[in-house]
Amino acid sequence: MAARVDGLPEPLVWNFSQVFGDRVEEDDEIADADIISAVQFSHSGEYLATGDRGGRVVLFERNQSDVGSPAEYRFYTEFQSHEAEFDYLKSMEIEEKINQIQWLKRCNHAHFLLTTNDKTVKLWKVRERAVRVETEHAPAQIGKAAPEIRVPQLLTTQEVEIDARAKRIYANAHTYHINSISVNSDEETFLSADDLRINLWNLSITDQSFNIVDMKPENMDDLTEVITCAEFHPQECNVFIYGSSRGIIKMADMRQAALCDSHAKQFEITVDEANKGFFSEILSSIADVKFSPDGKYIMSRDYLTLKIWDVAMESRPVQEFSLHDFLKPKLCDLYENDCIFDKFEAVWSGDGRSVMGGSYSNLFHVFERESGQDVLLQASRDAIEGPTHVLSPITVLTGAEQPRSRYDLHADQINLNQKIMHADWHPNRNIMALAAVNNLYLFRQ
Amino acid sequence: MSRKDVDRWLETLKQCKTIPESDVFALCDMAAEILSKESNVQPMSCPVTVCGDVHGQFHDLIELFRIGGDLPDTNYLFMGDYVDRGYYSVETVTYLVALKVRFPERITILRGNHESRQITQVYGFYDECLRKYGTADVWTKFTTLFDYFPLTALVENKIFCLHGGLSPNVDTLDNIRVLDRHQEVPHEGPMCDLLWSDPDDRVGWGISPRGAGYTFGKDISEAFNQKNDLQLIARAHQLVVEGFNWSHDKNVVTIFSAPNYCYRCGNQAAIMELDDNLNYVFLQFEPAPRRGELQVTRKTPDYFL
Amino acid sequence: MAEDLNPIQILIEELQDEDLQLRVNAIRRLSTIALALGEERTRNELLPFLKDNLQEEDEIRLAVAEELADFVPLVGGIKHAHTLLFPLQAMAAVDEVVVREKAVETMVKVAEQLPPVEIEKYLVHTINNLATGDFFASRCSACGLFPLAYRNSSGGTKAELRAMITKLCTDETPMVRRAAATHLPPVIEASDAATAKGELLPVVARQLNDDHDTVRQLAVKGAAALVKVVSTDDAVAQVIPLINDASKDPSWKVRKAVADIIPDLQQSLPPAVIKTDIVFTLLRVMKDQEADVRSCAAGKLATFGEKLTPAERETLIMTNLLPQVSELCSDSNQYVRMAVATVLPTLGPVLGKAKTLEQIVPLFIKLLRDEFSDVRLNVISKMEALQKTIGADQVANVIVPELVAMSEDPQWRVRLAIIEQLPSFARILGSSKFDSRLLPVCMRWLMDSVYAVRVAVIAQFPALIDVFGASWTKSTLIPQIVTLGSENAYLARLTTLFVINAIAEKVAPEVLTKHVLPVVTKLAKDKVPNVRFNCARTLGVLAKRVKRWASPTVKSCLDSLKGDEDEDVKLFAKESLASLS
Repeated sequence: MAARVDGLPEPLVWNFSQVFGDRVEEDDEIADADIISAVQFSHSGEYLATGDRGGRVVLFERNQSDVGSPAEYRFYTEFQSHEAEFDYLKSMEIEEKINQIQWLKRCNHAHFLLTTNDKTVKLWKVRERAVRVETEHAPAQIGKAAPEIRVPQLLTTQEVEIDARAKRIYANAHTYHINSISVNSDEETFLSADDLRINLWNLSITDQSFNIVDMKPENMDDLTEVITCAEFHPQECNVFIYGSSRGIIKMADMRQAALCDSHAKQFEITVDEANKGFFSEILSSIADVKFSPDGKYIMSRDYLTLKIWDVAMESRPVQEFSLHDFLKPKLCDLYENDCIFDKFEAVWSGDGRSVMGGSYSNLFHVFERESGQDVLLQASRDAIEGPTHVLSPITVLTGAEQPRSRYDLHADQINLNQKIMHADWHPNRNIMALAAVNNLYLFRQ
Repeated sequence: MSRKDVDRWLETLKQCKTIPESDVFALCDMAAEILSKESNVQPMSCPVTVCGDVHGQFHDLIELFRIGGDLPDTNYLFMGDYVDRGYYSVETVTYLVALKVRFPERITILRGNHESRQITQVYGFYDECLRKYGTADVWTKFTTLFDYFPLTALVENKIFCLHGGLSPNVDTLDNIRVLDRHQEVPHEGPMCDLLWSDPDDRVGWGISPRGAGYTFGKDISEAFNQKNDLQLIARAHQLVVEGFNWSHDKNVVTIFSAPNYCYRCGNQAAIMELDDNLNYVFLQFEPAPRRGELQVTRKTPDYFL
Repeated sequence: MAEDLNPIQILIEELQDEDLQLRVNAIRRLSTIALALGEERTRNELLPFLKDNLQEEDEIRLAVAEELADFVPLVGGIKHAHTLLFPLQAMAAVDEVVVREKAVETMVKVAEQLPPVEIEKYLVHTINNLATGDFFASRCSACGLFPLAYRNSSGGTKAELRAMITKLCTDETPMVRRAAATHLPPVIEASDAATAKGELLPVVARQLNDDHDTVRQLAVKGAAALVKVVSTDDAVAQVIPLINDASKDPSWKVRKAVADIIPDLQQSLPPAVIKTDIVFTLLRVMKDQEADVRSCAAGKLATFGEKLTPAERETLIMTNLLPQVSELCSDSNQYVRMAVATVLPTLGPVLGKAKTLEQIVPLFIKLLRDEFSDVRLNVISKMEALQKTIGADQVANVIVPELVAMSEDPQWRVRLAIIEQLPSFARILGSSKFDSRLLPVCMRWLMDSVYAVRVAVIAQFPALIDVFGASWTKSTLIPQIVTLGSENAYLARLTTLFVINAIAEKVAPEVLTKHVLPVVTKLAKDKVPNVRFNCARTLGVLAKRVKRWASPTVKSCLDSLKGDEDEDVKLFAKESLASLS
């Protein structure tokens, strides 16, 4: 990070870069299918994938040309990943909504992505193929008794078509809803987690899955905890973490045993029973866990905060960032309208120095870990200033204070329908992609 | 089409593979001719093995034959619900219909509430036909054939077998014999009740939570059996953990032949063997150990070693 | 067009057909096309066409890769075989593992036909292209070509190849490191002791420290290969310590790999080293905390024992290992018990009769009584080795009572497994012991409630007849069958006919005529149609076997069944009658 002459760090400045999706006015009805439900950069950051509630996956590629911003992406291709289905066994509707997208490392010119809805994980192969045409037929040789056999010659044209197809389908392995998928650094296996179980798959085998964590109690009445999210370590292929609704993060080591029901480490803040309120448990439920890019830290997201844990210290987080404390007086309302159960993602910057967490009214915080700097921004076409499209920080006012500029927002005016739940950060550039309802925003530093 | 063709189809189907659409059509035409001659109360003699719901669990149907014996050596009575929910409704129903065509004297296949156009569109058979044949023609053909399936069977005039249960509109077996069964299962009335009703601990008739048919109490079963000089009502339609379950002081027995129903219920399946003197024995069985579908295992798979 | 009528031309057109199955079918006939085109045009036109067409579905690529394996004569023999490597090389870089592996396999098949000089010339070039590819898929494929190329190369090229595979062993992509580790052992085995020790041992040592479990796991095999090649002293001083470290690896998969190579080590090392080093490694993995490691280690016991001298068996197995085997028989993990169940009976021949009776049989019986049916199944299926060791009396006294107890095992598949062992029991026990102990059980199984069990025991009768001979059949078996046929239960009547059907071929005609035929003709009047049509079937079988004077009886019986009221009875009677004439 650049430092100013006075030794203070440069303020965090973010610029608006792009927005995809239709502009929506406050009162417009948005088609549910268009709401973005997953955002993920590829390993190189050259591609970006989004999934939506309509089961579609859209890929963007970074603009390689000299003109235009390096943070500009353009539409690459789109495909229907999942369709709504009916589960005959349980007599219930399975939504097509994409819960998560994971890119695989590239093994050749094609792209591979895992996508999942509540029940089925699919491996998609997206490739460009040069259109080839058969060159002119050689004229048949006249006068020959037996006509010559002709082998067509193919000519590669400039034309390219992009073709996406489901290469493998990993179905019927989950009784409960899949909340996470994560590709292992060995590039051969991935995990899928539902409310009570975590399964390990070999990418090339679809008819067998290895159940490595099973939290289902003998008697479902004894159920006290569900798995909310899971992720593999970015480098160590034997380590994965998962978060639970009781605010616990467990780390498992597959080297120790084939079955990982007993965890190797457990990250948990012990709360005094006396300090527990009605909402304590809901608020502490882990919405998302992510390893830092170097694998040394874990970030957990709960309803109100982002917490950073040192992998070597299980007793308490090393850092904690509040995201929307102004909501604390409104918890009863948020419980009533179910918003308190919203699952926001936790996002690391590519270098692990900053983190990002979303809020309502399309607000999001970016925290610089070293300095503790915090900037609250809004994903909005209106919150832009100047020719470089600088995003102006937003202030949320509480109590009697009244907004004085358009960058002031009163806590009572927070729009609970506009949630920044899904976002990702470019792995090696300061570019962020955020899903704001049906819009995909791209910001750069 | 000859017996040889049917044998060939049976060979294919036994491996859980579908037969071509044109063969399904030919098969259904042959079956319709046979079934149309059967009575609404199809008379049967013993020995016979009585089976309940199968629900597209093809591999478990094959296991059932391993337990009970092959056709034609063993005689079978299936009490409906061949399709929906399981992954192999098409193979299951085609196989059973082919067996009916090949050995019409040795097997009887009754109609269950799932053998209907409306229900199969919701619970899987329709989609499975579409997926396996590309069009809904096979579904149309089968659901048309379902209208020919007999509603009930009567073993040696003593054991009355049907899918669901009794109906307030049916006092005697003759009431059933006069029904016009060649139609889609109606939403109400005697034909609907026979395929939808359930026995209940409460006496008398009750409203069924299923929204079709009734619940009937011990008094109803006893009266019905007495009036019709019956020993027993054997029926299917309900999941029972042990695979069979007595009710109404042994006036009614429920038989369910889909083990680990929906691949997750953990229930045993059962069949009821009636010998040549109408002595019964229940054989319970568990799911076939190998099945085509995905396995989620707690034992380290070889490819992780 | 007239030319399109040419069947070969049609095939070629089908290579580009919209329909995938047609395309695959056409590719399955590639050799026909090549034959028609001739060697030169196959090389110059067909191969380039295939290569261009390869951005196709994986099914197509796989089929092409498979077909090209037989193409050497079609492109003009060994001289031109290298032309096949180009399209295959392209396929070796695709994403689908199955295609890649098939392409590599075919390349190896093609290259194997070349003289060493050519292999060196072309294959090394191909390896180089693949090994320096941008994406890891091609680098993975390169690894599979090393063993063949290395074996056939001269000194200088060998060094070059070693440098390449060494580089791939440290590739940034774990997939490539795994592929390299997979194919390094044959390269090691094709190296001389000095090179193996000086150049390749450090590579394996580095692999054994890889971040990825799966690489370390494969490297253990590399260590086993090193043991084969280097001198015993070097092995003991430098390689065994690596293996011992691996047996303490934090990852259970690596420790399991160590258990896996123990028989290889035993083959390569002198007894002294086995006694001092390897046996403790084996013991350690047998005691491992992870079930998969223990089961794997248990599985190696019999081969381990076989290769020891009798004196060593006493000290090593009895003293060191057997207490641990006994532990494994009561392991809390059922899969470990399943593994030990398969290996335990095979220890019999290794240990000899007295020790087996004393040590193995009690464990064996324990496993026979295991609560988990697959354990019981496994131990039953390996019973024969144990029987041979301890002899008939002991089998009769110790094992048979267990078996009789298990004959009513609630799991019908366990009953089935015992039934499959019947002939081996018959051979060991001899007829008098068998008749008194096991024949009653067999007769009970004939009335088992599960059809598959009844059928299985019936299927064993011909084998029992083979073991005990004609007089046993006549005086022991047939009377039992006749009794069964007169039982009241309908199932007994039906089963009687099944048995007769199964054994008719093995029974003397006069016995069939005198004792069996009357049973069948009586059952032909049974009230149950299923019994009657089985009579019709059985009569068809008997007709060919009974004495001529009985033929009219068979025929008249079938004639009356032909007029039966039941359609199936009529049908079977007609079929049997037809087979008579």
